[in-house]
Amino acid sequence: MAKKRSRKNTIKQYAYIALIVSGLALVASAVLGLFKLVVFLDLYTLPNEQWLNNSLYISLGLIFIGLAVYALINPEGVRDFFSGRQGRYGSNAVITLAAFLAIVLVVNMWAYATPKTWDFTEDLQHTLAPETIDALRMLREPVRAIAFYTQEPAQIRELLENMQSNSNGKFEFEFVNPDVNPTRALEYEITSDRTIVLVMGDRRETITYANEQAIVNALMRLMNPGERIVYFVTGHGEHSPDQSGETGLSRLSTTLTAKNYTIRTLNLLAENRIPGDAQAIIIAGPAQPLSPEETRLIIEYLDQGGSLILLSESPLFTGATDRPDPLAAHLATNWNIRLNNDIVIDPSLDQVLIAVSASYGDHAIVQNLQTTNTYYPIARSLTIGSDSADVQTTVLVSTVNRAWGESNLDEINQGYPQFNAGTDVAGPIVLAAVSENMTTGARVIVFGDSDFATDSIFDVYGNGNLITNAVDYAAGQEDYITLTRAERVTRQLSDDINQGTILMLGATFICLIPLLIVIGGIASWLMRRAQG
Amino acid sequence: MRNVWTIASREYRHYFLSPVAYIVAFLILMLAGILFVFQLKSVQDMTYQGYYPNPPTAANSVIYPTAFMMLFAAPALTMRLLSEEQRSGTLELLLTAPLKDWELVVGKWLGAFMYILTVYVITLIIPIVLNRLVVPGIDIKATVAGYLALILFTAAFLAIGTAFSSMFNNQFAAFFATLITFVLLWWVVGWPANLIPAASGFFGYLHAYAHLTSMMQGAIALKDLVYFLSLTAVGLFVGTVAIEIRRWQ
Amino acid sequence: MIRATGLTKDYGSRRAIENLTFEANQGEIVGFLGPNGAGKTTTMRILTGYMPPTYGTAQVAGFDIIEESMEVRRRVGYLPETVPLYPDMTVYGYLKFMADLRHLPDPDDMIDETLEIVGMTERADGYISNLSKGMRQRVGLAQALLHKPEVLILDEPTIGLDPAQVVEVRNIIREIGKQRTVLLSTHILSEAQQVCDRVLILNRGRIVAEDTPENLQARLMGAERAILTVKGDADGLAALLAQIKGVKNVQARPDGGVEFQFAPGMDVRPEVARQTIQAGYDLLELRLMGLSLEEIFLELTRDSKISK
Ligand SMILES: Nc1ncnc2c1ncn2[C@@H]1O[C@H](COP(=O)(O)OP(=O)(O)OP(=O)(O)O)[C@@H](O)[C@H]1O
Ligand SMILES: [Mg+2]
Repeated sequence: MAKKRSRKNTIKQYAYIALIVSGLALVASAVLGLFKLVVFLDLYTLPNEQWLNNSLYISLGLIFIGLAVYALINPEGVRDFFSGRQGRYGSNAVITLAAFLAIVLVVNMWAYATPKTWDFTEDLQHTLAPETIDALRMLREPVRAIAFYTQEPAQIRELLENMQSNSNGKFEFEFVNPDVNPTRALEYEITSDRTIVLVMGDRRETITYANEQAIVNALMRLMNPGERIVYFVTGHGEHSPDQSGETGLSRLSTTLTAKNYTIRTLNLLAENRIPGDAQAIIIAGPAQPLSPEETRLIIEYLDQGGSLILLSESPLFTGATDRPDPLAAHLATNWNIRLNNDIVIDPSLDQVLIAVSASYGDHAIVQNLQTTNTYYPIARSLTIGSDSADVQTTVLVSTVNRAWGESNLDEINQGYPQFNAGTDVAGPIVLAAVSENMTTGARVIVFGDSDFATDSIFDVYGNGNLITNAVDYAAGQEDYITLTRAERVTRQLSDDINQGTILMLGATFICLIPLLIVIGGIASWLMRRAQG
Repeated sequence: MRNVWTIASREYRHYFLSPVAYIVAFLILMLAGILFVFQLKSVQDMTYQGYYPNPPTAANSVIYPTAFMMLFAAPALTMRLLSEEQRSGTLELLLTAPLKDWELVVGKWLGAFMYILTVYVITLIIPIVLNRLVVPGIDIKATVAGYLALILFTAAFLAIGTAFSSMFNNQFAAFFATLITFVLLWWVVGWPANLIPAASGFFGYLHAYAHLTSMMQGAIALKDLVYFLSLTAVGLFVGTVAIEIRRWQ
Repeated sequence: MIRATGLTKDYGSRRAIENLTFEANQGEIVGFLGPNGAGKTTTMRILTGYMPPTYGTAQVAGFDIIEESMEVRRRVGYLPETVPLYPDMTVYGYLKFMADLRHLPDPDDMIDETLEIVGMTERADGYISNLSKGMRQRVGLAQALLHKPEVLILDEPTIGLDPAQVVEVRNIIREIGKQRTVLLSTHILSEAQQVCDRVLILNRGRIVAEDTPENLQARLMGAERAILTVKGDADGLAALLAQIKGVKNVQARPDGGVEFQFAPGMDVRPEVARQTIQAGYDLLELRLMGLSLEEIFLELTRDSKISK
C-alpha cells in the first residue's frame, strides 16, 4: 500500500510539466490566433493559409491535452484549485468530464482532418482510378484545390478527400461558398458556381465540369506547363480577340488567359511567316478570303504539324462570292472538309437563320457538351469527304434532318427559303468538323460560323465551352488521360423469381418470423407464470 | 471486466422477459420483412416488363430501416436500465457491491447491446436470402460494411440512452430525453449545416445520418468510425459520471 | 469492526447526521435506535460506501470508507431498508448474481448454506415476484450473509416479519454476532434490548446515548417503581402509603392497584408490605416495575428536542 502511494506521488511530481506544455500552447495559440485575424481581415495574404490553420489547431489541441493530462495525473490538484471541501466531488466530476471531452474533441478533430477511407465495395466504387493515383504520386509541388460551391456535394467531397489521402500530403482542398465569400471568388475570377480552381505555386487551372477525369487532367496540365501561345490572324476583317462587344472575342480571350494561354495577333501579310511558338492559329470570321501567299504559309505550317481553327462565314453573307478562296480549296482537297457557299436554314427555331446543334460527334471537343445546345447565327454548311490515308475527319456538330443549306440568297431575302433538291445541301447539315493528319499530327478544326464565339452569345448554352474545347484540342491540350475504372458489377434479380417466390418470401418474412417473435414473447411470459 | 460481464448477462437475460424487448424485435423484423418483400416485388414487376432496375440491397431493405427503427427502439430499450434500479431500490445493492461505477454502466449498456445484436443476427436471414435471389449475388463486402455501420450506430445510440437512464429517476424522462437527442443528431443537426455555411463542417460532422449512410454505401471513413466510437465513449462516460453524482448529490 | 469519526452528511442545506463518532467491535452487535428521520439509514449508507460523508470518515473492517471503498464493500454485507430484489429472477438466480458480483469461489455451496440459514431452501427455484413480504426480507438477508462478511449492516431487518420469523431472524443475527461485527437499526426497542450488546440512540442526526441496554436503563433510572395490588377496596391505601418514609409519587390506578416510586438503594417494599397488612388490607401483589427502554427513549429524544 505504502509503495503504491509513493509511486503515485512521483508521477504527480511531474504533473506540472503538462501544465507548462499547456501554458506554452496557450501563448502559441494566442500568437497564431492574432496572425489568423490579420489574414482574415485581408491585411496580409499568406502563400499557404493551411499551414497557419494546422498550427493553430495543434496548439489549441495542446492546451486541452496538457490540461487533460494534468487533470488525469493529479485530479486533487485541480480540485483543490477550484474549491474547498464542499464542492470537491462536484468539481472532480466536472474536471474529469471536461478532460475526457477535451480528449474526445481532439481525437475527432484529428479524424476529421485525416481523410482515410476504406472501400468496402466489391467493385471499388469509392476508389480512385489507377491513373488518378499515378498522377497524384507524380506531384512534386503541393497543389491546392479550391472548390467554389454554394451547396457542397457529397461525391465531390469524397473525391477530393480520396485524392488528398492518396497524395502524400501534396494535394489539399477546401470548399468555399462563393455567396458567403465573394472576395475569394473574385480573387480566383470565378464566374460560375460549381467551379474548382487548382493552384500550384502561382499557376492555376480552372475546372467547370468537376469529376475525377477533369481534375486529373487539370492536374496533368499543371504539371506540364510550357507556354501555350495561340495566334489570331488579322488583316481580313476578322473578329478581334482584344475587342469586347457584339462582335468581339474578348470573352474567349479572357477564358483562354485564365487557362494559361497567351493570346497574340498575327498579320500574315506583314510578318510573312508563322512564328515557331504558335500552338494554334485561329482565323475567326474573315470578311475576305486569304490570299494565295497567306494560304501557302498556313499550308507550310500545317505540314509541320501545326493546328488551325477556321471560323468561316458564308460568302453569301460577307458578299465575297466572286473571290476565289485558296484556303477553302486546300481544306477541301487535303483535309476532306468542303465549305459550301450557302446559308443554313434550320426550322428548329422560329428564326430559321439560327442553326442549332442537334447532335454531336464522338470526339473530345464535344464530349462534355452532349446535353447542351450550341447556336450558330447565319452559318454555312460543311461537306465531309471520305477519309484519306493520313487524314481522319470527324463531324463535331450537325443539325436536324429538316435543315438545309440554301444556296439561293434571293429566296432568303424574300423570306420564303425553299429546299431545292438539285442546288441545296440536304440536312442534316454539318456545322463543325475536325480533321487530323495522323502522320504529322496537324489538326484542323472548321466551323461554318464565327458569330457563335463572339461576346454576344459566348455565354449562351454551350457556345463558349465548344470554342474553348476546340482551342484546347488544337493546342494539344485536350485530356491527357482517360481513366480506366474497375467495371461496376451489374446485378440483377434472378429470372427464376416469380409471383410464387415473392408470395412465399412474404409469408416467411412478413408473417412467420414476426409471429415466431410474438410466440416467443408469450411463451416466456407463460413459463414464468407457471413457475411458482 | 468480469463484473461487466455479470451485469451484462443479467441484463441480457432480463430482456427476454421484457415485453418491450419483444415489441422492438417484432417491429424491426416486421419492418425489414415488409420493405424487403415489397422492394423485391417492385423490382420483379419491372424486370417482368423488361426494365432491369438495381435489385434491393441489404442496405435498403434491412440496415437503413433498422437504424431508423432504432431511433425509437433504443430509448425504449435503455430507458429502464438504471432508472428502474433506482426506483426499485436495487441500485443501492449494486452501488454497495464491490463493483466500479463504470463497470455497472458499461455492463448495463453491453446487456442492451447484446440483446439488439441478437435481433440483428435474425435479420441476417434477409441478406442471405437476397444473395440467392440476385445474380451474381449481392455485394458481400458492402453488406458487411452496412452491418458494421449499423452496429456502431447502435452502440453509440444505446450508450446515449444509457447515459440518460443514469441521469433520470423517471423512465419516461429518460425515454424522451434520449429520443430528443436522437432526433437532434439524426435530423436537426443537418439544417444548420446547410444554413450556416461557416459552421457546416462542424454541424455536418455531428450529423449521425450522414456518417451512417456513407458507411452503408461501403465507404468506411476513419472519421465515421471515430465519430460513432466517440459517441459511445462519451455516452458511457457521462453515464458513469451521472452515477457518481448520484452518490453525493 | 466499525470505527466512525465525526461523520457528517448534508443533503443540500439539510444536515442529516452531525459529527457521529462511534465504534462497533468484532463479536459485538450494535443497535441503532431512533425516531424516523434520525439518520440511521443515512449513516448505514455512508458506512457501506453507497455515498460519501460530507465531513469525517470511518473505518470498516480495517479499511477507510472513502479511500478504500472497494475493500470495504467486499467485506460488508448490507441489507438496505427497501429490500433490493429483482422480481423477475428466481431466488437462486438472484443469489448467484450476487455471488458472481462478489467473485465467490464456490458459489453453489455458499448459496445452499445461506438458504439453509434463512430457511428458504425450498423456494430456491421460485420467482422472487411470487414470494411473500417476509420471504423477500429473508432473501434480502441471505444476500447480505452470502459471502460471510466480516461486518454486517442491517437496516430494519425484522420489519414486516411474523412473530415466529422475527424470533428466527433474531437468532440468526445473534449467532452471526458471535464472531462478526453487526450493526442493525430498529424501531422496536425490545428487539434492541434482546439482541444488541450495545445500543446507540440517535435523534436528529446526533448520538444522544450509547451503552449496553442494561446500563442505559440503570443510568437513566432516577427512581424504582413498584405496584401494589390488594383484594377488594383500595380506598385510603394511597394516603397510607404516602405517609411511609421514602415512598414518593403515589398514584391510584384505575384497575385498583396503587403505583409508587422510591429512591434506588433504599428499598421500602418490606415496610410497605408490613403497613398494608397491618392496616387490614389483603395484599395480593407487590411488584417491581422497571423503567422501560421505551420510556428512556422517549425521554432522551424529548430532551434533545427541547435542548435543540
Ligand atoms: N436522498 C435524500 N435527499 C434529501 N434528504 C434526505 C435523503 N435521504 C434522507 N434525507 C433526510 O435525512 C434525514 C435522515 O434520514 P434517514 O433516512 O437517515 O432517517 P432514518 O433514521 O433512517 O429514518 P427511518 O426510521 O424513517 O428509516 C431525514 O431528515 C431525511 O429527510
Ligand atoms: Mg431508515
